[in-house]
Amino acid sequence: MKKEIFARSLVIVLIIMAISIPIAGRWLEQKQQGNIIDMHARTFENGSWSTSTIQTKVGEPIHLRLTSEDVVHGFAVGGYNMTPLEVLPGEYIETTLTFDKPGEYTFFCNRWCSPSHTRMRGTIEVLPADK
Amino acid sequence: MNRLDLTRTRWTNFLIRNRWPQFLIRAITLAGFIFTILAGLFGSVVGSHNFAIIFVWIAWWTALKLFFIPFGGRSWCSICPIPMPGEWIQNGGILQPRGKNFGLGKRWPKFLRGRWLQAGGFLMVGLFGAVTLTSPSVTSIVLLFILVLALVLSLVFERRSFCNYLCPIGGFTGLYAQAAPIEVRVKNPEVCSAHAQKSCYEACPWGVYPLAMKSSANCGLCMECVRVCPSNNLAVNLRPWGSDLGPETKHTLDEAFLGLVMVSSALIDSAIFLGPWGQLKLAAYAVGSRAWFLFAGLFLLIALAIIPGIYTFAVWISKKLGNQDVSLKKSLAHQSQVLVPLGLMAWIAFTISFALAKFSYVLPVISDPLGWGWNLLGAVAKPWVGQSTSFSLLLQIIVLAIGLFWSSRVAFKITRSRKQALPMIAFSVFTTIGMLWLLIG
Repeated sequence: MKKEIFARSLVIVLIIMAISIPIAGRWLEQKQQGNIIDMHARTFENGSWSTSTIQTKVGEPIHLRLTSEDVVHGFAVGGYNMTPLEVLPGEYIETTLTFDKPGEYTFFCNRWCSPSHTRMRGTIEVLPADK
Repeated sequence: MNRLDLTRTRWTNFLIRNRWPQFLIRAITLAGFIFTILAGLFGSVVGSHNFAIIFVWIAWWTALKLFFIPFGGRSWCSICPIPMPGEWIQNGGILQPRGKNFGLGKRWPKFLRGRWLQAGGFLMVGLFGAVTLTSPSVTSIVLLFILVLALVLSLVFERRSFCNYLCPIGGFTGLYAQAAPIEVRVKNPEVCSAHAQKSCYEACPWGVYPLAMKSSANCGLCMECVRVCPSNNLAVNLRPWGSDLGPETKHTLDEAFLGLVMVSSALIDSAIFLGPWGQLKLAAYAVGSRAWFLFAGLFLLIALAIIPGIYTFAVWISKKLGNQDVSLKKSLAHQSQVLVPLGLMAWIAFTISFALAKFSYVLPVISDPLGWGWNLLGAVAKPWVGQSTSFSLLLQIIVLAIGLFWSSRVAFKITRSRKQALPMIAFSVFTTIGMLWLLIG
C-alpha cells in the first residue's frame, strides 16, 4: 500500500509541476518585465496591433517587446528617427523609443502583410515633460 | 527457434516484470500530456514556437512511425498516458494490478466493435489535419477531448474500451504491430489450458486472453499478463518482422477497411503537405468553407471509394485466378495483410520527408516551450529549416521499395499460387508509384 500511495503522490506532484510551469513562468515574466510593453502583431483582418495607443512624456523612454502571431510584420514610427524593425512570427524583438518633442506619432507596419496592411497602425501620444 | 524470449535475460526480465519503470515513464508522459495541453491553449499561437505542435506533430508523431511501431509494435500504448486517469478510478489504484472495478463496467456494444470507429477517427484526423497540425489551440482541444472521453468511457465501459475501439492511434499502432518484431505469447499452451483461474485475462486491461492470441494487433504490451502468471508461462519474444502476416492468421473486414484508410491517408496527406498544389492546402485549411467541403468530398471519395474500389477489384481478380470457393468478403479481409507493410512503409516514407527537415525545431521549443521568449536551456536559436536533401529522397525511395518488396512477399505468402498474388502486387505497385510521385515528384 505504501508503494501505491507513493505512486499516486508522484503522479500528483508531476501534474502539479506541469501545471505550474506556465503559471510560474508568466508570473516571473511579468515581474521581470516591469514597464516593458508587450506588443503582439496580427494582420489587420485578424486584430492588428495588440496595443493601439501608447502614452508617454518627452524624454521618458518606452520599452517595447514586439512579436508577430501570424506573418512577418514591420514596425516603424512616423516622424521618429529609427531603423524599421522586422517582427517575425513567434520571435521577440525589443526596442526603446525616447521622444524629444511632444505630439501624436503614428506607429505602423512597414511590411506588406495583408490586403488591409496600410490600416495596421497605432498612436503614440507624447505629452510635454512637465505634464 | 526464430524467437528470442526477453524474459530469459536478467535485466530485460526485470524491466518487464517490475511495474515501476513503466509506471514512471507513464507518469512522466501524463504530466507531459497535460503540459502539452496547457502549452497549446496558453502559449504562442505560432505553431513552430509552441511545444504542443512541435512535440505532438513533429517529435512524437515521428518517433511513433520511425521508432515505436517498426521496432516495438504497440510499445507506445504501453506508456501512453491517456488511459491512466480512467484506470486510476476504474482500478482504485495506479500501480497495483486490475482489481476492484469502479464504474459501470459495461461491455462495449457488439455492433460498435472492431476497427470501424478507429478508422473513422483516423479519417476525421485527416479531414481536419491541416488545422490540427498547425494550430496549437486546436491540437490542445483535441488532446483534452481525447483525455476526457477516455476517462468518461472508462467509468461506463470495462477495461480500455476507448483504446480498443475508439483511439485512432490505437488503430494505427494495432494494425502495424502485426508487422513489428515483438510479441507476447504463451510458452506452453497446455499449462494455460490446465489453469482454471485465467489470472492473465483478469489482469489484462485490453481484455485479451493470451492463450487465444494469434496476432499482436490487440495486445498493448502492458506486460500485466507476464507479471501475474503464476506459472511464468508467458514470453516476450523478439521475432522476425511481419510474423503475424501469413496464410494461417485470421483477419476481418474492419481490418481491411482500416488498412485502406491508412494507405489512402498516407497518399492524401502527402498530396496536401508535400504536393505542389497550394489551392489544395488552402482548401484543407479553410475548414467550413466551400473549398473545404470540396476538399472533404474529394478526400472521402478517395479514401472510401477509389482506393477501396481498386483494392476490391484486385482482390476480385485474385479470387477469380485462384478458383477458390471463398466469399469476396473473406478474401477482402484475408488479402488485407498486404496493406500492412505497404501502409507502414508509406507512412515511414512520408514521415522522413518532414522529420529530417523539421526536427531542428525540437530543441528551441524545449528551451521556450510556450513561445514566450524564454531561453531555459540556451538552445533558442533560429531553427535550421531544411529542405528535402538527396539523402532523404534516397531514403524515401529505399523505404518505399522495401514496402513494395515486403507487401509482394506477403501476397505470395498468403495466396495459393503466384498467379493469384499478381493482382495484389499490382495494387502495391500502384500505391508505391503514387507515393513516389507525391513524395519525390
